[in-house]
Amino acid sequence: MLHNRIHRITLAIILPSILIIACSSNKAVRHSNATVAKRSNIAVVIDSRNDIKNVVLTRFMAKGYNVKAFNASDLFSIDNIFDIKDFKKMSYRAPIDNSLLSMEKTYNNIYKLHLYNYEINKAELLREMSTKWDVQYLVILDLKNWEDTSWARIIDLRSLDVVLIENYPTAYRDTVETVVDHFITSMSKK
Amino acid sequence: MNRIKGICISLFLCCVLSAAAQAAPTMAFGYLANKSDELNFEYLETIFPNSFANSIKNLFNIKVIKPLSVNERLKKKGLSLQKDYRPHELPELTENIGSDFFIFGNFTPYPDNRIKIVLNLYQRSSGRVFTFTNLGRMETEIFKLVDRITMILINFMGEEQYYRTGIIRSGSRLAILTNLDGDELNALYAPFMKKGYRIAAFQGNSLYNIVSGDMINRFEYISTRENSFAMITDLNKVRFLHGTWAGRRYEGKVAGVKRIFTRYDTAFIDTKNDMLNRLYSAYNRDIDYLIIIGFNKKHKRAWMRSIDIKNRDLMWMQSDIRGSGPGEIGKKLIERMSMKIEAPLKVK
Repeated sequence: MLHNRIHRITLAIILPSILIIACSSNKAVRHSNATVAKRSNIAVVIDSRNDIKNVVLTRFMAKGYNVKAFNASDLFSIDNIFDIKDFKKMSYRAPIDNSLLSMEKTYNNIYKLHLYNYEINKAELLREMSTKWDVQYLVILDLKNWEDTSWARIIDLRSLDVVLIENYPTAYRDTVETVVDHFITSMSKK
Repeated sequence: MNRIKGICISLFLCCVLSAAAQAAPTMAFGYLANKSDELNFEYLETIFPNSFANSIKNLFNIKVIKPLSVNERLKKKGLSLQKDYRPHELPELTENIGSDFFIFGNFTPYPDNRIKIVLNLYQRSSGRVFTFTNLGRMETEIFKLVDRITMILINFMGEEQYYRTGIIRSGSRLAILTNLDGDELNALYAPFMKKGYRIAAFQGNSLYNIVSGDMINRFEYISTRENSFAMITDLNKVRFLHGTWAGRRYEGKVAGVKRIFTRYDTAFIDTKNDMLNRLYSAYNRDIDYLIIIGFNKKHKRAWMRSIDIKNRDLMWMQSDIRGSGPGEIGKKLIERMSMKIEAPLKVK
């Protein structure tokens, strides 16, 4: 009887643990096409409080990277940039008798062009970062709490290629410093 | 008593038969117009559609109506089957024929034994037209050519609405437009990068994605020069009121609306190609394919469209791609994109 109880309790502890580990391992993803060498000129994009931003930038500087003064969250983290979301609110009166008069196609096409244009503008801005400010790599970081996934993406601004992606399931003992250090180690090896 | 029983059985059989007849969709075939000056090829105008109809009938539970019968049906309504139709004429035409689908198109024979076939498939329930162009060998045995085209039609009419004209090889540079961001976008990129595809920092250069699930669906319909999957609009039905009350300001507004329609509807392909040229230049003139992937709310189902940036043409279209998440869906896409185009069907 006691043996059965212990058996059940053990299962109750082990099974959820296995599930958590399995879920976490599913989220971990990494691929790198390039090594970001120390002393490279980088710009870091992160959307968080200024004190956290400072911690993050300090870790990169401490590891020997030339961090360019670029308050990227102003440029890249605003989710309503260019007011694209406003297009969602555009409306028109659809004809009752004949759907062929619908302006849906026209509005959809305007939206498509607007979005392509937005991506072109961003590419031009990235090019400017590379040529005018001599930034070689753009590091995009999103730091998440335990049980969630922190992630990083690095873009080579000369080729405009994504050269590194990593999803890192934040561990219970992780801090801002350890997560950033993890990504720094990751980007310095292929 | 027996008489009543007989009537009941007859009625029941009638219902069953009519239900069965309703279940099978009807596909009407128009002509495949000869676009060349060679009159010797005119006989193919009906032979091609008849052959497509036979092939499809052999493979599907579908009721086909060949051009001759279509013409007869139209004659009863004082109309006749034309060699060409403009998209906005199709809803009324299919209603007059009484079919769920209508297929028509044209062909152009080329020197060195090649032939270009353009087919338009209109689906009445969705009001969408799928147009594709196939340039290939004019087979000495016509059934091979018919099989090639039938294969495209069959693939498109399946749940996946699958259409592909070529292979996307490893090493190609892809610009991916999607409604994912953050770790999920990374999960989508990962299988492509692992297989040697280069991912342009298109969308991936931001922390957040401004494209929501609703917004990406606007990209589901796509028009390019040779191939397209588009909704129909009829600008001839737009009526602008005129009168003595209409002054210069009103006329200016009307002209503005007309310009909008031209730029974003009737001549949208030109407008879009200009934009794609700019996009190509902005990314170092080094993008091979623009891949648009729309995920559903749970991100476990997706559709995709791909444009070959070099020739600005739709080269791959697929719906109903399922997987446990973006990573698995990405893997499925890679499997499909590197797969050889299937051999022509062997008609049973």
